[in-house]
Amino acid sequence: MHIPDGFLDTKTWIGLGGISAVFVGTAVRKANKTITDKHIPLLGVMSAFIFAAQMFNFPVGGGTSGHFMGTTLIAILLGPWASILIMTTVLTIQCLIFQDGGLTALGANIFNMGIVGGFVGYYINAVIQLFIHDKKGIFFGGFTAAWCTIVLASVCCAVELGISGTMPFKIVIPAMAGIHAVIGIGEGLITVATLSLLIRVRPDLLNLQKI
Amino acid sequence: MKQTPKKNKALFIVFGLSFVVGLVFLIMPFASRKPDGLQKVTEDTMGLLKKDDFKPTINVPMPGYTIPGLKHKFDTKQYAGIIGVFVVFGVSVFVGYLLRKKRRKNL
Repeated sequence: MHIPDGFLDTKTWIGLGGISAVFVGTAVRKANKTITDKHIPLLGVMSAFIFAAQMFNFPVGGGTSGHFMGTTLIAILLGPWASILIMTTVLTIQCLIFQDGGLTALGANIFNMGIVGGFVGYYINAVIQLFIHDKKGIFFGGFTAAWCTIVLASVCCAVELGISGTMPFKIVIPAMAGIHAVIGIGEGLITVATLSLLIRVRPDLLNLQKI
Repeated sequence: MKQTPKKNKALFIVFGLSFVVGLVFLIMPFASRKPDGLQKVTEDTMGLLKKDDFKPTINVPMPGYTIPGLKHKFDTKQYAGIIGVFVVFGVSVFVGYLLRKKRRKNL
Protein backbone atom coordinates (compact mmCIF):
# COMPACT_ATOMS: atom_id res chain seq x y z
CA MET A 1 0.00 0.00 0.00
CA HIS A 2 3.07 2.23 -0.32
CA ILE A 3 2.08 4.98 -2.76
CA PRO A 4 4.94 5.75 -5.17
CA ASP A 5 5.90 9.14 -6.60
CA GLY A 6 3.62 10.44 -9.33
CA PHE A 7 0.40 8.85 -8.06
CA LEU A 8 -0.81 11.90 -6.10
CA ASP A 9 -1.32 15.41 -7.39
CA THR A 10 0.45 18.35 -5.74
CA LYS A 11 -2.46 19.58 -3.60
CA THR A 12 -3.05 16.09 -2.20
CA TRP A 13 0.53 15.24 -1.31
CA ILE A 14 1.25 18.68 0.15
CA GLY A 15 -2.00 18.61 2.17
CA LEU A 16 -1.37 15.13 3.55
CA GLY A 17 2.28 16.00 4.17
CA GLY A 18 1.14 18.93 6.33
CA ILE A 19 -1.41 16.86 8.26
CA SER A 20 1.14 14.11 8.87
CA ALA A 21 3.78 16.64 10.01
CA VAL A 22 1.33 17.95 12.65
CA PHE A 23 0.58 14.42 13.89
CA VAL A 24 4.25 13.40 13.93
CA GLY A 25 5.12 16.59 15.86
CA THR A 26 2.37 15.82 18.39
CA ALA A 27 3.59 12.21 18.64
CA VAL A 28 7.10 13.47 19.46
CA ARG A 29 5.69 15.74 22.21
CA LYS A 30 3.53 12.94 23.65
CA ALA A 31 6.43 10.47 23.59
CA ASN A 32 8.61 13.08 25.23
CA LYS A 33 6.28 13.09 28.23
CA THR A 34 5.78 9.35 28.61
CA ILE A 35 8.75 7.44 27.18
CA THR A 36 10.82 5.44 29.66
CA ASP A 37 13.88 3.19 29.45
CA LYS A 38 11.52 0.19 29.24
CA HIS A 39 9.96 1.46 26.00
CA ILE A 40 13.19 1.92 24.04
CA PRO A 41 14.24 -1.72 23.36
CA LEU A 42 10.66 -2.59 22.41
CA LEU A 43 10.52 0.47 20.14
CA GLY A 44 13.69 -0.69 18.35
CA VAL A 45 12.83 -4.38 18.07
CA MET A 46 9.22 -3.72 17.00
CA SER A 47 10.38 -1.25 14.31
CA ALA A 48 12.84 -3.85 12.99
CA PHE A 49 10.12 -6.54 13.07
CA ILE A 50 7.63 -4.32 11.21
CA PHE A 51 10.25 -3.47 8.58
CA ALA A 52 11.09 -7.16 8.03
CA ALA A 53 7.46 -8.26 8.02
CA GLN A 54 6.54 -5.58 5.47
CA MET A 55 9.10 -7.08 3.06
CA PHE A 56 7.32 -10.44 3.06
CA ASN A 57 4.43 -10.54 0.60
CA PHE A 58 1.99 -13.42 1.06
CA PRO A 59 -0.30 -14.59 -1.78
CA VAL A 60 -3.98 -13.71 -1.39
CA GLY A 61 -5.33 -15.17 -4.65
CA GLY A 62 -6.40 -13.56 -7.89
CA GLY A 63 -2.80 -12.81 -8.86
CA THR A 64 -2.32 -10.51 -5.89
CA SER A 65 -0.20 -10.49 -2.76
CA GLY A 66 -0.33 -8.55 0.47
CA HIS A 67 2.04 -7.76 3.27
CA PHE A 68 1.75 -7.21 7.00
CA MET A 69 1.40 -3.53 7.95
CA GLY A 70 1.82 -3.90 11.71
CA THR A 71 0.34 -0.61 12.88
CA THR A 72 -2.35 -2.27 15.00
CA LEU A 73 0.18 -4.51 16.70
CA ILE A 74 2.33 -1.51 17.71
CA ALA A 75 -0.71 0.50 18.76
CA ILE A 76 -1.88 -2.33 21.05
CA LEU A 77 1.56 -2.72 22.63
CA LEU A 78 2.79 0.87 22.79
CA GLY A 79 -0.15 3.14 22.00
CA PRO A 80 -1.33 5.09 18.93
CA TRP A 81 1.26 7.89 19.16
CA ALA A 82 4.10 5.37 19.36
CA SER A 83 2.71 3.66 16.27
CA ILE A 84 2.91 6.98 14.41
CA LEU A 85 6.56 7.39 15.46
CA ILE A 86 7.50 3.82 14.50
CA MET A 87 5.65 3.89 11.17
CA THR A 88 7.22 7.27 10.34
CA THR A 89 10.69 5.83 10.98
CA VAL A 90 10.02 2.65 8.98
CA LEU A 91 8.31 4.41 6.06
CA THR A 92 11.00 7.10 5.84
CA ILE A 93 13.81 4.51 5.71
CA GLN A 94 11.87 2.40 3.18
CA CYS A 95 11.46 5.52 1.03
CA LEU A 96 14.97 6.99 1.31
CA ILE A 97 17.00 3.77 1.12
CA PHE A 98 14.82 1.23 -0.72
CA GLN A 99 12.50 3.38 -2.88
CA ASP A 100 9.49 1.64 -1.34
CA GLY A 101 6.97 4.48 -1.43
CA GLY A 102 7.66 7.85 -3.01
CA LEU A 103 9.21 10.87 -1.32
CA THR A 104 6.33 13.11 -2.42
CA ALA A 105 3.86 10.48 -1.15
CA LEU A 106 5.63 10.00 2.21
CA GLY A 107 3.12 12.21 4.05
CA ALA A 108 0.22 10.27 2.52
CA ASN A 109 1.81 6.93 3.40
CA ILE A 110 2.39 8.07 6.99
CA PHE A 111 -1.21 9.29 7.13
CA ASN A 112 -2.72 6.04 5.78
CA MET A 113 -0.54 3.49 7.56
CA GLY A 114 0.66 5.36 10.64
CA ILE A 115 -2.05 7.81 11.67
CA VAL A 116 -5.27 6.17 10.43
CA GLY A 117 -3.87 2.73 11.17
CA GLY A 118 -2.63 3.63 14.64
CA PHE A 119 -5.78 5.29 15.92
CA VAL A 120 -8.29 2.94 14.30
CA GLY A 121 -6.36 -0.11 15.47
CA TYR A 122 -5.90 1.16 19.01
CA TYR A 123 -9.47 2.29 19.66
CA ILE A 124 -11.24 -0.66 17.99
CA ASN A 125 -9.14 -3.03 20.08
CA ALA A 126 -9.77 -0.98 23.24
CA VAL A 127 -13.57 -0.99 22.70
CA ILE A 128 -13.65 -4.74 22.04
CA GLN A 129 -11.61 -5.40 25.19
CA LEU A 130 -14.23 -3.50 27.22
CA PHE A 131 -16.73 -6.23 26.33
CA ILE A 132 -14.56 -9.31 25.92
CA HIS A 133 -11.95 -9.87 28.59
CA ASP A 134 -8.80 -11.94 29.02
CA LYS A 135 -7.05 -13.70 26.15
CA LYS A 136 -10.23 -13.95 24.05
CA GLY A 137 -10.54 -10.17 24.11
CA ILE A 138 -6.88 -9.68 23.23
CA PHE A 139 -7.06 -12.08 20.28
CA PHE A 140 -10.51 -11.07 18.97
CA GLY A 141 -9.74 -7.38 19.53
CA GLY A 142 -6.36 -7.70 17.84
CA PHE A 143 -7.74 -9.56 14.83
CA THR A 144 -10.73 -7.26 14.29
CA ALA A 145 -8.71 -4.08 14.81
CA ALA A 146 -5.99 -5.27 12.41
CA TRP A 147 -8.55 -6.18 9.73
CA CYS A 148 -10.40 -2.84 10.07
CA THR A 149 -7.09 -0.95 9.97
CA ILE A 150 -6.01 -2.50 6.68
CA VAL A 151 -9.39 -1.96 5.02
CA LEU A 152 -9.73 1.64 6.23
CA ALA A 153 -6.15 2.54 5.31
CA SER A 154 -6.75 1.13 1.81
CA VAL A 155 -9.97 3.15 1.48
CA CYS A 156 -8.06 6.32 2.49
CA CYS A 157 -5.41 5.47 -0.11
CA ALA A 158 -8.14 4.96 -2.72
CA VAL A 159 -9.81 8.28 -1.86
CA GLU A 160 -6.44 10.07 -2.23
CA LEU A 161 -5.91 8.48 -5.65
CA GLY A 162 -9.46 9.49 -6.59
CA ILE A 163 -8.97 13.10 -5.42
CA SER A 164 -5.70 13.24 -7.37
CA GLY A 165 -7.53 12.10 -10.50
CA THR A 166 -5.19 9.08 -10.88
CA MET A 167 -8.10 6.63 -10.91
CA PRO A 168 -11.89 7.07 -10.83
CA PHE A 169 -13.46 6.85 -7.34
CA LYS A 170 -16.11 4.31 -8.33
CA ILE A 171 -13.45 1.86 -9.52
CA VAL A 172 -10.58 2.42 -7.10
CA ILE A 173 -12.52 2.42 -3.81
CA PRO A 174 -14.29 -0.96 -4.21
CA ALA A 175 -11.20 -2.49 -5.82
CA MET A 176 -8.84 -1.41 -3.02
CA ALA A 177 -11.31 -2.25 -0.23
CA GLY A 178 -12.08 -5.66 -1.79
CA ILE A 179 -8.45 -6.77 -2.15
CA HIS A 180 -7.50 -5.41 1.27
CA ALA A 181 -10.46 -7.13 2.95
CA VAL A 182 -8.67 -10.38 2.03
CA ILE A 183 -5.18 -9.05 2.91
CA GLY A 184 -6.65 -7.92 6.26
CA ILE A 185 -7.27 -11.56 7.23
CA GLY A 186 -3.52 -12.19 6.94
CA GLU A 187 -2.83 -9.01 8.92
CA GLY A 188 -5.22 -10.16 11.64
CA LEU A 189 -3.69 -13.64 11.85
CA ILE A 190 -0.10 -12.30 12.08
CA THR A 191 -1.19 -9.78 14.73
CA VAL A 192 -2.85 -12.52 16.82
CA ALA A 193 0.14 -14.87 16.37
CA THR A 194 2.57 -12.17 17.55
CA LEU A 195 0.36 -11.23 20.52
CA SER A 196 0.06 -14.91 21.42
CA LEU A 197 3.87 -15.30 21.33
CA LEU A 198 4.34 -12.20 23.50
CA ILE A 199 1.75 -13.40 26.03
CA ARG A 200 3.81 -16.59 26.42
CA VAL A 201 7.30 -15.10 26.59
CA ARG A 202 6.89 -11.48 27.79
CA PRO A 203 3.34 -10.83 29.07
CA ASP A 204 4.61 -7.68 30.86
CA LEU A 205 5.06 -5.98 27.47
CA LEU A 206 1.29 -5.86 27.03
CA ASN A 207 0.95 -3.78 30.17
CA LEU A 208 3.49 -1.07 29.37
CA GLN A 209 2.32 2.52 29.71
CA LYS A 210 0.92 3.54 26.33
CA ILE A 211 2.38 6.45 24.40
CA MET B 1 20.44 -15.46 40.43
CA LYS B 2 18.19 -12.55 39.63
CA GLN B 3 18.73 -10.80 36.29
CA THR B 4 19.32 -7.08 36.33
CA PRO B 5 17.04 -4.85 34.23
CA LYS B 6 20.04 -3.93 32.04
CA LYS B 7 20.76 -7.60 31.34
CA ASN B 8 17.07 -8.19 30.65
CA LYS B 9 17.04 -5.38 28.11
CA ALA B 10 20.16 -6.67 26.37
CA LEU B 11 18.70 -10.20 26.23
CA PHE B 12 15.43 -8.88 24.82
CA ILE B 13 17.30 -6.97 22.10
CA VAL B 14 19.55 -9.93 21.22
CA PHE B 15 16.64 -12.40 21.06
CA GLY B 16 14.36 -9.91 19.33
CA LEU B 17 16.85 -9.01 16.60
CA SER B 18 17.91 -12.65 16.13
CA PHE B 19 14.24 -13.54 15.63
CA VAL B 20 13.79 -10.75 13.06
CA VAL B 21 17.02 -11.57 11.18
CA GLY B 22 16.05 -15.28 11.18
CA LEU B 23 12.66 -14.30 9.83
CA VAL B 24 14.26 -12.41 6.93
CA PHE B 25 16.53 -15.33 5.99
CA LEU B 26 14.00 -18.11 6.45
CA ILE B 27 10.79 -16.73 5.01
CA MET B 28 11.98 -14.22 2.40
CA PRO B 29 12.62 -16.92 -0.27
CA PHE B 30 8.94 -17.85 0.03
CA ALA B 31 7.66 -14.28 -0.44
CA SER B 32 5.15 -13.91 -3.24
CA ARG B 33 6.36 -11.98 -6.27
CA LYS B 34 2.81 -11.14 -7.32
CA PRO B 35 1.84 -7.43 -7.23
CA ASP B 36 0.48 -6.11 -3.94
CA GLY B 37 -3.02 -4.68 -3.52
CA LEU B 38 -2.23 -1.17 -4.76
CA GLN B 39 -0.07 -2.40 -7.67
CA LYS B 40 -2.78 -4.86 -8.74
CA VAL B 41 -5.53 -2.23 -8.66
CA THR B 42 -3.27 0.18 -10.55
CA GLU B 43 -2.45 -2.43 -13.21
CA ASP B 44 -6.09 -3.43 -13.59
CA THR B 45 -7.26 0.18 -13.77
CA MET B 46 -4.50 1.82 -15.73
CA GLY B 47 -2.98 -1.08 -17.64
CA LEU B 48 0.62 -2.20 -17.22
CA LEU B 49 2.59 0.74 -15.93
CA LYS B 50 5.64 2.01 -17.73
CA LYS B 51 8.49 2.91 -15.42
CA ASP B 52 8.87 6.28 -17.16
CA ASP B 53 5.32 7.26 -16.21
CA PHE B 54 6.12 7.39 -12.51
CA LYS B 55 9.75 8.32 -12.07
CA PRO B 56 10.97 8.45 -8.47
CA THR B 57 11.98 11.92 -7.31
CA ILE B 58 15.25 10.74 -5.74
CA ASN B 59 17.94 8.15 -6.33
CA VAL B 60 18.34 5.73 -3.45
CA PRO B 61 21.19 3.34 -2.54
CA MET B 62 19.19 0.07 -2.64
CA PRO B 63 16.21 0.49 -4.97
CA GLY B 64 13.60 -2.25 -4.67
CA TYR B 65 15.52 -3.95 -1.83
CA THR B 66 18.46 -4.86 -4.06
CA ILE B 67 22.15 -4.32 -3.51
CA PRO B 68 23.68 -3.00 -6.74
CA GLY B 69 26.65 -5.11 -7.86
CA LEU B 70 26.09 -7.96 -5.41
CA LYS B 71 25.68 -11.44 -6.90
CA HIS B 72 25.21 -14.34 -4.54
CA LYS B 73 23.36 -17.62 -4.36
CA PHE B 74 20.97 -16.02 -1.89
CA ASP B 75 18.60 -13.39 -3.09
CA THR B 76 20.14 -9.93 -2.53
CA LYS B 77 16.75 -8.94 -1.11
CA GLN B 78 17.66 -10.87 2.03
CA TYR B 79 20.90 -8.94 2.48
CA ALA B 80 19.16 -5.65 1.79
CA GLY B 81 16.55 -6.71 4.34
CA ILE B 82 19.17 -7.44 7.00
CA ILE B 83 20.80 -4.04 6.40
CA GLY B 84 17.36 -2.43 6.62
CA VAL B 85 16.54 -4.25 9.87
CA PHE B 86 19.66 -2.88 11.57
CA VAL B 87 19.21 0.63 10.14
CA VAL B 88 15.57 0.74 11.32
CA PHE B 89 16.52 -0.65 14.74
CA GLY B 90 19.38 1.85 15.13
CA VAL B 91 17.32 4.86 14.09
CA SER B 92 14.37 3.88 16.33
CA VAL B 93 16.56 3.34 19.38
CA PHE B 94 18.41 6.60 18.67
CA VAL B 95 15.10 8.50 18.43
CA GLY B 96 13.90 6.78 21.62
CA TYR B 97 17.04 7.80 23.54
CA LEU B 98 16.82 11.36 22.23
CA LEU B 99 13.22 11.64 23.44
CA ARG B 100 14.05 10.11 26.83
CA LYS B 101 17.07 12.43 27.27
CA LYS B 102 14.89 15.44 26.49
CA ARG B 103 12.32 14.17 28.99
CA ARG B 104 14.93 13.86 31.73
CA LYS B 105 16.05 17.44 31.06
CA ASN B 106 12.45 18.64 31.34
CA LEU B 107 11.86 16.85 34.66
